[in-house]
This record gives sequence, structure tokens and C-alpha cells, in this order.
Amino acid sequence: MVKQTSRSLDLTFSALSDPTRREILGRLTQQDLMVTEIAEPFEMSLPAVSKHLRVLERAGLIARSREGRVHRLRFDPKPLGEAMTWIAEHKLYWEEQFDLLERYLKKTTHEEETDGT
Amino acid sequence: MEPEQTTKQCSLNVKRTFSAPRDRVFAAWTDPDRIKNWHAPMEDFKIPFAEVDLRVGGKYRYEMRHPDGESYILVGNFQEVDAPKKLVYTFIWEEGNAGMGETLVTVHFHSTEEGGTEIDLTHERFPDAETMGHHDQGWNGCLDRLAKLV
Repeated sequence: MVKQTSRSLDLTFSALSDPTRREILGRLTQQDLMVTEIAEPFEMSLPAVSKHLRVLERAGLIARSREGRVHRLRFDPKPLGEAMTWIAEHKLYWEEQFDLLERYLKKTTHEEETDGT
Repeated sequence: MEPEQTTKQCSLNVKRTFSAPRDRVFAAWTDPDRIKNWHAPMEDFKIPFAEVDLRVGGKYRYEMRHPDGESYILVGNFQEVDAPKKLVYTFIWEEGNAGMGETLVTVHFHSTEEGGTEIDLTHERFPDAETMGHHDQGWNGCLDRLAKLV
């Protein structure tokens, strides 16, 4: 049975639902980057990139360290594990539902044929 | 690039073939009295109530309760109803405080050549209702990323 109360899971999926943010994350898996380096390939302003970074940060997918005025960002895979957990749990839930449905359908084959419901 | 495919990869998909004909499988899936019956036998869970308003925009709501008091309430509304072939509905675990948000379930009921039914079910997450229209695009290529990341 699945019971998910995690707000952080919403944040993870929300963060991953944008192609720019996935692109940023993909590059951060290769190496840590400064904000300006992250912004470079995108045709958008630094504040716009910054906004995407804050969404990723809030979801815990990236962490920021400061060296003076230089902000360096690195990728943190932990929340993705949580997202995968959600998928696994619900897969199990549906498999259970199918097991139950299968039993019910087998059990009721004859009953339904005779009482016409 | 096949958007449909990449979208599915980032959600979860389960399939099962049943020997019962499609009408019966569909009825078992949607009729409140039948729903009450097929959850009950395993793990002592009972379904104290099940309500299903099977039409587009209609709501469903049912509770799974364990004798020890543990209770799960599932709610949602139908986005698409094409009996007995297809259902699209939102899926929410209702709770007193913070929920996990709205998710979307798409169920295809295919008749098999042997007279049985294959259920092809896709369960997707999306942050909120607004993104529903764009989630194809939003999830595009998501699994490629996930595969690289984890």
C-alpha cells in the first residue's frame, strides 16, 4: 500500500518537468560549474538562469558553494532516488491491484453468468 | 524522436492480461459494488465506501481500511471515459494534511484474440493541473537524463 506525504517529491518532479532545468542538471552531472558557465549556452538572461537554479536548489537537486563572489554549483542525486522510489512503490501498488482483480474475476465468472449482473 | 515513448518512459507502465472479457474487466474497474469486492480479500483491507461518477468531470472516491484503523482514501476525477476501452483519471491519495499532489492514470482495456482483456496502465506524475496539457513536452527525454544521473 502506498502512502506518500512527501512534499519534496513534488519539488523534484516539478524541477525535472522543465527542459532547461534538465539540461542544466545534465551538464552538472559532468562537472561542477559556476553560474556564469551554466548560463553560457542558453539564450537567456543571468537572472532567468538564476531562477531555474533556485528551483533546482529548492528540490535539493543541486547544491551551491560560495567562494567570495563566485558561486559554484554541484549536482546532488539524492532527490532522484526518492523519485525513483515513488515509481517503484506505485508499480508495486498496481501489480497488487491486478492480482486482486484477477482473483475477483476468476471467483465471479460463474456467479455473474448466472445472476446476469 | 518519439515523444509518446519518452513520455511513457518517465512514468510507470504496467500491463496484465486477464482471461475475462473486456466488459467484465471494465465493470470490475469502475462499478462501485464490484470495486468493494475485489479489494477486500487480501491483507484484511475493507472498502467501507466507494463512489464512482463515471463521466467526464465526474469524481470517484473510495476508502481502503484495515481493521487496525489504518485508512487510505483515494480520490480523483475522470478526464476521459470511453467505456469499455479507455479511462483517463486523476489519482490522489487524500490525507488530512499535505498530500503528494495530483497524478494521472491512463488505462487502456484491449480485447485479446483469445477473448480476454489486456489492461495497459500508465501512471504519471505532474506538479499541478496546469502542466497537464504540456506534460508530453515536459517529460520529453526525461528518462535519458535519469539514466545518466542515477
